[in-house]
Amino acid sequence: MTSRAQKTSSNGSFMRSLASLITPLVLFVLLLPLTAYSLIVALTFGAADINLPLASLAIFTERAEPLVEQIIWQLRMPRTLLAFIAGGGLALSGLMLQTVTRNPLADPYLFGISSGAAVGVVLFVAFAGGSAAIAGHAISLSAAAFLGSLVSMSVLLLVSGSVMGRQVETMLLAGVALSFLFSAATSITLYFSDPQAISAVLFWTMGSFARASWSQLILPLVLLIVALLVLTAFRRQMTALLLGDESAITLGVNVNRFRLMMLVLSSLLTASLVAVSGGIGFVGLMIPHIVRLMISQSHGLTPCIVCLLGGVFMVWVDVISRVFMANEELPVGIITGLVGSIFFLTLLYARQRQGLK
Amino acid sequence: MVRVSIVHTTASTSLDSAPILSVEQLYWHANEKAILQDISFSIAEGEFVGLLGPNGAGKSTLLRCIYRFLSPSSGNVFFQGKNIWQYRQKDYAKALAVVLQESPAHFNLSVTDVVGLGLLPKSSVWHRTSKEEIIQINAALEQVAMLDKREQAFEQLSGGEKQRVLIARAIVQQPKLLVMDEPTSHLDVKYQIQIMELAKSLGITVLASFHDLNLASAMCDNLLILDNGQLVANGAPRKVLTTDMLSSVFDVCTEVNRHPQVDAPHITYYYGYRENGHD
Repeated sequence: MTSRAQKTSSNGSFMRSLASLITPLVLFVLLLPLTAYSLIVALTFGAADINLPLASLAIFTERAEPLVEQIIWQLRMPRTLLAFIAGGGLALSGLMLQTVTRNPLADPYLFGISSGAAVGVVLFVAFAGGSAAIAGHAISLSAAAFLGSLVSMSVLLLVSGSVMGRQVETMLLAGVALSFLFSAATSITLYFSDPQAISAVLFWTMGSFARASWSQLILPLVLLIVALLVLTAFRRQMTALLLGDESAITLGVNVNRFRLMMLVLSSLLTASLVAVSGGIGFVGLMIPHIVRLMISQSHGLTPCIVCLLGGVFMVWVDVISRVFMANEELPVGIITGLVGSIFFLTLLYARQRQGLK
Repeated sequence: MVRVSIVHTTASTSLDSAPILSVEQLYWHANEKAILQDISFSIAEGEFVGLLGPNGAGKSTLLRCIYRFLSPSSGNVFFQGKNIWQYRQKDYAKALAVVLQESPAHFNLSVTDVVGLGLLPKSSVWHRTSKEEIIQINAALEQVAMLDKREQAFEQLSGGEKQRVLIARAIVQQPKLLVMDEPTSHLDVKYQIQIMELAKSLGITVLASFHDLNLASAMCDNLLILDNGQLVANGAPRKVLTTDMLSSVFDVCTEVNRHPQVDAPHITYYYGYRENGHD
């Protein structure tokens, strides 16, 4: 009995001292080199064999072979950066939505943003004529997806606009209903489309960074930076909202306006990402939870940490998607879903075990 | 010299007697149904005022109209002579702090995080919490005897500890008026007394709703009794807490004596009376 008790208590104090070591600053300082390392090393993975020295040569000098230079600068670098921006952006968007809805299950696609985007894409493919359109019109395809997301977001805000302030639950239900509505619209359109279009759309809805190009990075990057600044600046308001609307109002937060601002910003960010990389699940849900397990949400560095961790995670998911099968790519959405759900279940199991002790 | 001091005294008494909060002919309706009707009262600076009434009398609604969660259907609330809706939201939050009955807490906020929110009304967007402010937070935690738990998760605290943390948040907010909506319900007797004595020790004006009539009697300078959305009594505990009032408003049979320790009415309830069909 005694030894067991001692063991548990020493174990507990070890965990505590370990936990006290993980401060936001330590985490941030650890994540910075990890991010730089990931972004550079990720460039060496892919069909063409380019090792780290060759890749560094192409990045930092102009003495690399033209082919290597082209692969690095035109293909892998925008792709890796897109993965990073998508991971960071989805994680931030998840953090915003979980906070303003006070719902731990909220994710960036909560309000039918991805299904709205899917409708946009499916309609575009259906009207532009088959899979040929997908190959040729990457930009218009993204525009169609973005437009679809904006439509779903606007409908949601109109539907729940009047009750916005007081009833988060109504908004959540409206979002779920909208998702179903748009999914149904997608299914109907797909049902009457040709099989090639269906497979192309299916691949797109599972997410991929293969279509990345420099020009497509601009909008998501700008929105990501804006979101990061806003979240850092309004971290106190975010924390206040976690204790309930009523309490936040008594602390001088204009809850209705603040929530609207956060919803619009997170929706725009998600829509811009869905438009270029498709629907990638679980990152926006998982990353904020992992960060909150380690540090407090109210710290000023938390948004940065969430963004970096999401970005690094996604860069490696993209690497896996490239190297998992030779000559073929696995959609990233499948990997995030797989890795994410297994990780999450393990975590919940561990926490429950801990709770039982 | 004497003159000056007389003038000074009159000035300060007139300031003291000016109410910090006054409610004038306040009505509030929910879907045509009047929840609050024609409520008028005022609170002087430094007073400790208790709001009493049976369940559903409108206590929380009245407090919500005062801390600007609800806007009245008609009538006004004035804080230091100015209509509360004419304050900027942040300025009003600097003057008035609120401790609510239950705070939902999610997502691993620490006790320090929650208390630190008291600085929110004063902080600009890019403000970093300064050393002085951390000292201020710790002092408030010390005052409510929660300093040793400052790193703990707020959601894992007991009900009484949570309330003490929320009072610490209110202390950091440095308000002129503290509003508390049944801060002692669901708490052990020990904590009910502790929370109220803590609020009283702050030395600011307090308006709190109570469930426990005896606790209210012992703590408050003045009591407001709400029944069915109407203010039925307003005055010192010894004037307000009568057997007649208790029977008509709270529907209980009682005997009112003096508390053996403090100079306040003490209520003894009688059991087994079912005259009005209640028990």
